[in-house]
Amino acid sequence: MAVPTLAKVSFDAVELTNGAVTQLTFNATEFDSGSFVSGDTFVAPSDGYYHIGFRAGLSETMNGKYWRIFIYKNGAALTSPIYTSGGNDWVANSVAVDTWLDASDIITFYVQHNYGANGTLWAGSYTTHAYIYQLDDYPGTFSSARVYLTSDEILAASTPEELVWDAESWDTDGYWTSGTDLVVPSTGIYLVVATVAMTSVVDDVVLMASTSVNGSQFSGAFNNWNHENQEPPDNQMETVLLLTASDTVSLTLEQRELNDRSVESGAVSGTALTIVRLGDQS
Amino acid sequence: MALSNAILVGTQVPSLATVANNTWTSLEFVTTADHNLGGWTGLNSTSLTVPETGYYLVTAGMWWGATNGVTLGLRINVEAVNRREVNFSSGANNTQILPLVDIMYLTADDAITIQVYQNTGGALAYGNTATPTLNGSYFAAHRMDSDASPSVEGGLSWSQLSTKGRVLLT
Repeated sequence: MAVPTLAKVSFDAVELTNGAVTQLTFNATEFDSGSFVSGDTFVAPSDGYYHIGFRAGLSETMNGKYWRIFIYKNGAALTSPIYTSGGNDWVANSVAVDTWLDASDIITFYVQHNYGANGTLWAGSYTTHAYIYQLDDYPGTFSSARVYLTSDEILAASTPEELVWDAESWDTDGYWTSGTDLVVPSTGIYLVVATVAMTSVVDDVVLMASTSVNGSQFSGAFNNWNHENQEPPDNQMETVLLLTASDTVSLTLEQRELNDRSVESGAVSGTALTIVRLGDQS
Repeated sequence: MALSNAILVGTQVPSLATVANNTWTSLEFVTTADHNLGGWTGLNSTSLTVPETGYYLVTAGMWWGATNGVTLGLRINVEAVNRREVNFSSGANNTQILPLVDIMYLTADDAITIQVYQNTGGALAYGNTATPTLNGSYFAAHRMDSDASPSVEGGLSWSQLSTKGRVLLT
């Protein structure tokens, strides 16, 4: 296995002025095999195609407001999802994009909200982090698994539930046999993608999702989707994790509707958890 | 190293200025050849053909005009079957980019289509550009289980790309 050209950072818990587009500052570098990190920016080490992921949250109770997260390239917005808060709770969302970068191109991360007063970034590496890796770094051996549900799963209101998977679409290295956990076969850096689909229309509902590592709900990545007057919502979250052999990865969901809500099953477009080994740590 | 079977393309609604209400509408894949590594076909149409069987990291995004309190959707179909969808409630009367990411096992000659949805009650503006920016929309995919050099006719080599330095998603 090769070491991927990759970096991942967390951010400082800064105060965010209402309405202002604010650049986030790096708090800690979890790993940086590509020498990307320079101050509060990622700098592309060479020409190439890159995958960039960004997740950020606002630790304020939102309702009917927006939370916007930006990836900037050379001072201009590359992509900027904007999320509405309809569930009267904190928000945390993510975005990932593929792009071409010239050597020395600069990537920075911004957020914006209209909470109504100044708010605080929801810091903590599981909620607010960013990563970048060069797509043309092939790890040498493809190692991956994807698991899904074969029947819809009922989520009781305000009760976190670790999903018990029913089947797998593929599994190159025995990641899954049964139950909730994908078991990592070897130490390395992994890309984890969770796709969540619900079966019914929701209104003013908070849907929380976290990729847990070794049973710790917030050790992986966390999204807090606040839906308002919504068709059956389908969402995704992605993260990059440094994992040790035998670590377990699972997906926990919670919904805060007053009534039970169901998670949609299905191998094709239902709720699923996918893991891919990107390479060695060093 | 080489990036296998990768593509970065813009997307747009053919010949339309807006997307109709409550209708899943197919987008056209629009690009130059510069970001087509490995023989994807179907550019400038609504159906993109997978060049080789494998596991692909897929990302897509759709820019929408300002909306409030409606559902916005983005869907990737493979062989006319919904493979992955994302939808969100919009709000605050603002523009929005709807992002999608997934890892998919795709078979050679699979037809990929991208569809978008909105239920504002009327037509809605979208990101219509072949060179996506903040106001554009895009689709990207690359094969994760092979480092074979692009060899399919029509694909450009990595060295050609590096020399050209052509930027699509800027």
